[in-house]
Amino acid sequence: MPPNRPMARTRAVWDALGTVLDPELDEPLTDLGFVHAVDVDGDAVTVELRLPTYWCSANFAYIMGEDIVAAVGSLSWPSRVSCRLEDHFAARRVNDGLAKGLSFREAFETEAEADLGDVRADFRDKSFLGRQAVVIQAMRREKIAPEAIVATTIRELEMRRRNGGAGHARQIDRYLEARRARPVPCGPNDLAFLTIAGEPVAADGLLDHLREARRIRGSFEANAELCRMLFAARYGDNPIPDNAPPVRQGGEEYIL
Amino acid sequence: MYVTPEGEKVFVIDGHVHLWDARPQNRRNRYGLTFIETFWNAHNGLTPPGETMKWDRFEHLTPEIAGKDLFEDGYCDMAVMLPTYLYEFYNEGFNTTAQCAQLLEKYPDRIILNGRADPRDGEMGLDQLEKDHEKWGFKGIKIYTAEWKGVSKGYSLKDPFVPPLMEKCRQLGIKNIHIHKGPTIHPLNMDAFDVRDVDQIATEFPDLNFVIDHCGMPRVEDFCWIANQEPNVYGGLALIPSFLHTRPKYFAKMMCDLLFFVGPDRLIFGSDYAITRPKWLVEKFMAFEFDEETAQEAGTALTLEVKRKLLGLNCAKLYDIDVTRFVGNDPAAAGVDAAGAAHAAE
Repeated sequence: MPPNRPMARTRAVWDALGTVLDPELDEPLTDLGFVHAVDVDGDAVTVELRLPTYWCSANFAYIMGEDIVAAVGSLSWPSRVSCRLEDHFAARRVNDGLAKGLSFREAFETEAEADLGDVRADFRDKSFLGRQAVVIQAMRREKIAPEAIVATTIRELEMRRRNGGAGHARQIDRYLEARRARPVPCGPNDLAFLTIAGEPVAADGLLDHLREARRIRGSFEANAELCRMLFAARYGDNPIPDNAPPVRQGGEEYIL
Repeated sequence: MYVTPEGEKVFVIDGHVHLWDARPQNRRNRYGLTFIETFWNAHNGLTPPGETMKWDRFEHLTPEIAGKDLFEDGYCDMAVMLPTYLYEFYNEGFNTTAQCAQLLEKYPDRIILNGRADPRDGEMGLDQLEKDHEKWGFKGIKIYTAEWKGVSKGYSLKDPFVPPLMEKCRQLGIKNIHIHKGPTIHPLNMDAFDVRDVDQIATEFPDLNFVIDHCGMPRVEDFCWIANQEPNVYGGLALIPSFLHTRPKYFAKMMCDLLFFVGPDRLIFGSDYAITRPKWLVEKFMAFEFDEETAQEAGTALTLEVKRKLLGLNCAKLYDIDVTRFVGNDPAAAGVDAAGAAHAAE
């Protein structure tokens, strides 16, 4: 039975939003605080999105918007889902595009030369490696030999997860999710840890591979921290004093 | 000059300094407001509570304010000024070479004034750079690939109009190119912070040095890879040490990667003044140590020697600064080993 009480519906929307990730930070928007409000009016849902700066990349904002609409739209009951980006240089274009169901290229036809497939793929690769680094690092801390780590199968990793994952259950889940999305076989006997190209990792190359993966992981984490700081400052206790004169020309919204 | 509790001198150059004017009368439009607002948020987010500035001071930096923050309170012996024009957002420009030159006039021996160029200006831009160079004698310039200019909302270093500017720098003897990768808007479908275009230009102009502001942040991972391949690519640390206060763990991680991939000879300290001020940064950086595991990963501990390189000696090399002018006859502080000093004396 689909939920029909407003409270249950609102809750279902928040749960769905919990699956939407910031593409470059690889963390749920809800954890980052970027979802400002959810409004459920009967079958219609409005999600308000706030980002750390007025100047955050429009393409990443669009990815988030598309994913919000898709995630909430996958619930059985909404008849209309709208995502409203606020306080952003490209808010009008993003919101119009999402409302009309336009592709990114259609929404930004003068600036974009293609849709966002490549940039999405790039961040999927990075997220795959970054999540892998966390799992491998946890195994290394348990003094598991490199030979055993690189030979770990999907089944073995799933067993490790069922046994509690040595405190890294959620990280294993997140990695397995990324592993399953790779365009290579993912049966119980397939290797759990692969390179971006889908190759096995050599035992004597594990440290180099891990350094590579951690370089990416570290960037994700540091960027997320910076975004959190900027976000907290933007919507926190030190807003810019409102001493600006009336706007003379332009700048209301990014117009070309 | 910073002096350790043991009495060791540390020569300091702030490698990333501005003198901006974002007062309401200078803002052309709402972009001018939101641009400085982002800086203000970064300032408040990164700076320890007791070290933050008042808004009216932050909004318009005067030579008096900057001189005190850098040279009286901030341990800096010298500072590199990086102009950013942003005429699309500010009527008289945000942080022009002429504005920055006010600090040079006040501190002629302590300011390294860099020029500014926009390769989209074509011949006219090259002529202007030459004129500016005649007036101020640059050793470096700053380029900002995300700057808006008419219908253009940014460019890539792979664009065909970029090499002529590099040729011009070469011809004028300007050898240090500081590059800021902001959120370039064209083409909008690409990763807006992509730093991989640095690779190509650095290979094409091996005799120029490319200092990538903020070490490419938020793409530190890609920057590390490129700088690892290209010996003439340097990391401008501005923003990275700002994690020292709020997120020291992430500071350690980033420094670890940077030291491993780029090495201690190609990283340059900067406060991104006035995003934050050098005083607390220098103090916290000098007090910071890696734990053993991080030092092993990085391939080096944060020794006094490494700190001296990052805080001033690396930048001094890029700008041919005679460090003995500041530290006197102190080979370690001047970054020359005994053999080098003996060689120099011959």
